[in-house]
Amino acid sequence: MADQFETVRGIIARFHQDRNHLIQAMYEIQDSLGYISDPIMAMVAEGFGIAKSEVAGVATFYPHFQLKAKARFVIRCCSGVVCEICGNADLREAVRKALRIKDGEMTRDGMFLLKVGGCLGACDKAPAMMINETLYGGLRPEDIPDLLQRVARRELAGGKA
Amino acid sequence: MMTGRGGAEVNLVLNGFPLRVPAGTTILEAARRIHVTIPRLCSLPGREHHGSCRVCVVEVRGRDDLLPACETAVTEGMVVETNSPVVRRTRRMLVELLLASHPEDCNTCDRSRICELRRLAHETGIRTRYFERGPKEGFFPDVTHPSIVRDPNKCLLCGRCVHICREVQTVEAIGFMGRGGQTQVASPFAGGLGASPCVGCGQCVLSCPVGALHEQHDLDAIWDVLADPTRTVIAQVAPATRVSLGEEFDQPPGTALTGQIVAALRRLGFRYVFDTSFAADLVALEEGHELISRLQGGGPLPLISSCSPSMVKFVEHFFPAQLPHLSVCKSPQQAFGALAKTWLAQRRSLDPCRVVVISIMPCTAKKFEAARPEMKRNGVPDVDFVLTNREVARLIREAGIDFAALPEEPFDSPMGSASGPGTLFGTSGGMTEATLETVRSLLGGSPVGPEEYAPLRGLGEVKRAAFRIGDRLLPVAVASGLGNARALLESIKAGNPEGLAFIELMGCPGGCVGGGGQSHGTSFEVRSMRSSALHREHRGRPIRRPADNPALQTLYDEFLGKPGGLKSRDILQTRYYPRSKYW
Amino acid sequence: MSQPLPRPLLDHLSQPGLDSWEGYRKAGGGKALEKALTGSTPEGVRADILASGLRGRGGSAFPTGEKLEAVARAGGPPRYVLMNGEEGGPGGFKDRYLLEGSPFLILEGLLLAGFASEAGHGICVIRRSAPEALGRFRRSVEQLRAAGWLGADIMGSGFSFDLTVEIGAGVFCCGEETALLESVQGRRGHPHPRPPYPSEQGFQGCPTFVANVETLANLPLIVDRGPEWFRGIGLADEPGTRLFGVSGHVKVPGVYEVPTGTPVGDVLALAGGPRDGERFAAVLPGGAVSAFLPADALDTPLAADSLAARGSCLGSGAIIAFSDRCCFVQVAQRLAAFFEQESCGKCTPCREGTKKLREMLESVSSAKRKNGSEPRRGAGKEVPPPRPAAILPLLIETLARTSACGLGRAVGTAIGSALTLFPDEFAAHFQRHECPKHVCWS
Repeated sequence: MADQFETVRGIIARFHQDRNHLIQAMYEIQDSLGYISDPIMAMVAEGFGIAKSEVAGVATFYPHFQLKAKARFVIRCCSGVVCEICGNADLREAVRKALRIKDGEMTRDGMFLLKVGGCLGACDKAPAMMINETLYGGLRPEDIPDLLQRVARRELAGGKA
Repeated sequence: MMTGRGGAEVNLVLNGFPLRVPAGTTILEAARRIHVTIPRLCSLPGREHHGSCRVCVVEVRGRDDLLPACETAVTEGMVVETNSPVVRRTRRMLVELLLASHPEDCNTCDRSRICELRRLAHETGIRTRYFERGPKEGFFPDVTHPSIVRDPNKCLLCGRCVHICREVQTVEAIGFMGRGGQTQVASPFAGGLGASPCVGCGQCVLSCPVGALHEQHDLDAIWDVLADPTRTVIAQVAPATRVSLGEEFDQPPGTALTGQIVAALRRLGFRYVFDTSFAADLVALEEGHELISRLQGGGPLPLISSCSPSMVKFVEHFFPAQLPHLSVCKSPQQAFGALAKTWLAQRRSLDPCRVVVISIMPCTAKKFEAARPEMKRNGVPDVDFVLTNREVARLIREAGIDFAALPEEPFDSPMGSASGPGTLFGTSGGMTEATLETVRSLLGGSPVGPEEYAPLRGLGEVKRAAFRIGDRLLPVAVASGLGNARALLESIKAGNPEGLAFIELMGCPGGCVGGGGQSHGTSFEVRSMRSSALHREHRGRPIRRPADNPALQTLYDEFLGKPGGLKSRDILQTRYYPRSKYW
Repeated sequence: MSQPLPRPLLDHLSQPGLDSWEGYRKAGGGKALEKALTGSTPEGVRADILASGLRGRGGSAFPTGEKLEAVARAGGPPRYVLMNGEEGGPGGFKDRYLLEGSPFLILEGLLLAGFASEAGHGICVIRRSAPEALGRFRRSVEQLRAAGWLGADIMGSGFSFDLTVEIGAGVFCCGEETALLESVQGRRGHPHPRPPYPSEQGFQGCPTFVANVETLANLPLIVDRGPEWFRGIGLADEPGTRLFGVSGHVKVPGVYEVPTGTPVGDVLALAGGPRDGERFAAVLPGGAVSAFLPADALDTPLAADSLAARGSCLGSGAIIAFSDRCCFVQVAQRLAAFFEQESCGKCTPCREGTKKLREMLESVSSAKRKNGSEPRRGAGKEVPPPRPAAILPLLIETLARTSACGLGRAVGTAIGSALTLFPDEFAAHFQRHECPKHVCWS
């Protein structure tokens, strides 16, 4: 924990209390810690010299911020209308079935979290989904179990998704 | 927009009436000039416009969309319709939308009597509903704060409370969280509002149009203790309550109803009804002593009065380094409670554990103050319950008491008499007046007329004055509202460049007359009317100075010894702890 | 077509090695900025752009030259240039394509915009869900800085310009410029009333030139080849070419470039036409904020006026095709669900209205029926409330007329047009609870 706080302090210090970079700073913190917890939010507020309600307001507004437990892989299913008409619902169903979770839930082992919503802006590759920072397009429901297994296996082997 | 208001005037036609208004006037203000009130929800007087509820939209000729009247400035030649068919049907749809996600528990809601949403539904002519009610999901009431309860299910997201908390009180304990349909006004702390720097001032409660924010209710527990024959239930009535409780019973603001309140409380089953102003006199005396001792080098200057519990918590959170400036004296409510359970219990040979002290206060933060662990002696709290004006009005209504028809009854003795300045504690500047009068009398000066204190009166932001007492010139400052208090505290933090000797800070704008426990609809005008009523009461009192209160002299002779003495330090003093504003 | 279509942007993108500074220079990049900095003045560049007749590609189609003029005149310094790479609407991916393809072209455009509007600082917002574009763009900025094209006194011309790359939050509502400005200042992306426009009071209250990625990409071409060249392409009052991201039920989804005024059908033909065994039923010519064009109106030119005449709009270059197998009630419901999720939550009509819109459409399409429960309406009430078919148009009107920002106003457009284009389909759902296309409750 102690080194986490050091990391956060280091990131905050680079932005010199410049409110304009609040979102950037929080992205960096999230990238290094996995998610932004309540105490981290307080540290950000203190570091930027603004109220914690401001920080939390921003953090809860933008969907890319991860505020609760961190799953190793966040699966983001697009819900833009293009993906919807190209069979996104089946894709989501396949993910739900493969992982036995509902929208917004995390698997018990903390490996996957399913988030549905927003448009990923990959309509040319519809239906699209994103696992962490990697975009997968043109998926079919039957690809899902393989894909998830591949992603998980790479994690176990120490590689990055 | 409010900016750019020059001397120029513009012409417009509003609902067919030609009109000439200063440039920069909003459509809302312009409509008021021809006595048309446009329904609205999110705008508050003095608030920079938010434009979120859209209920006030009007039709402007030449525009396809409707414009919010609250944030649209009139321009030359504008033709505005506030009741055209398109305005009426979209406005109704907007209110329907608000109603659709609002719980239909009007019968049991805290605001069942005066609810702005109900009024809006009435004003927009809603008789049948467009939508099935679809309640919000996943929202839970936040009951963690000792003073305030927030129910996001009822919230309309008008943002008035957020504005008050941020801009006026500068506490920023609540804010908008989430996005889209999941938006709610919340405190971002894992422990809820109770773990936040919320000071419990209750200004958000006053600003809420519906029952989404209200005080923690104590009424059921109070009915229990009132029914318990083994307990001696004592009431104390705050000075600001007596000039505003009438509003709950359709009296104009500023009607002094002290006698009726005492009568009503007796009929409710309170054994003794006392006056908090008595304790205010006591606090003035003790603080006067403290001020003199600090002036003689016995502590940091300026001395900051500690009567307002929301302000005390504010200092603890935001200015922990300035805590030594706070007077160590308890607030009048707590001083009263402590005396009731010691002196009074001794005098009437009562068991302090069977004495229940209930405060009638125009304040929500007092609920927090009464619950502070420092405010207990041997595990017995000084004050057991605090009722806001709104709650005590409910109590009276529940008992079926015809408040307006009650005879006037006097307070019980010994803690029922008060000096003129003692009653002034309820308004901004009054506390300073009482303390300075005490200092003057302690240093052997003669009383001065009330006009001497004119610069401290009124509901201005920060009032400054210097008073010559003895051979000293005492610069003092008075601020009400935490935003103004913050300005003064910042200047103390910067080394007190003005050389202030005494500061009176009140958490709510205008002091207790604008308290968070007052009736809804507390506007600037209403606060002024309550304040003037207190000043009238002050002028009518025969006792001119706190130190001249005979009951107080009895108290010191019988029990406390001398001001600042060992016993008063034991009973009447408290301490403060720094708190974090982040967790 | 006898002559090859002019497609300057795609031609540029087709050159190799654009992701390195040397490659970009070899492909002829950078000439425009050199020309402007050494041989022209900010006024001169503004005049060129004004003369070219370029209009913003972000959706409002405001003349870019006039906007630059407004920023330069609005007072300051400081002034800012803000690149809006936060396209988040369904069907919007052509900006990502540009950013990935030729980051230096955008950067050159940004520098030109900075020079022309006399701004000293640029802010580039790129959505987080385009990590590839973000990475390339960041590397390009470093290379550009190493080449001395960023910083103080560029090329000895006295023009100083620097820029920061910000990660956009990837929310639809931040595509609106006032909301985007809030977002880059580290606040919640709530829109502001306009005026004041960002060109007067934008980033930190300073004049800010907010531009779409494609607009910026056009600037170097115009400055390099001259405004007459640009005017020669496409329509007279909105000249140039436009990039369209074509997606949905077409054979080859992708980015296509056509001169303005090209019929919608031609662009769809470029994308391979309908998939096998299908026909187009309707097209959204400007993404989710535009209105549906029926299949018999595919000859409508892609120009603001002619689309507006059909009740639609050009939007930000996202063409979504829908085949005749789509159930438009379901499409409308999905659109509503998207908007409900993406509403910023500030104003009542958008926040609560989209929710009700989705609920009403849902009650007649998939979800509720699947669970076996009949849609309940007015049970046990004295006066039954009006049916969805009657309320829906009123709700859409309220959204369009009272929402606080442009996105809120556009929420109902597509759904409203579907309602008028396919009344039978909606009537079947609303009155008989059946789906003519057997998509819902299948």
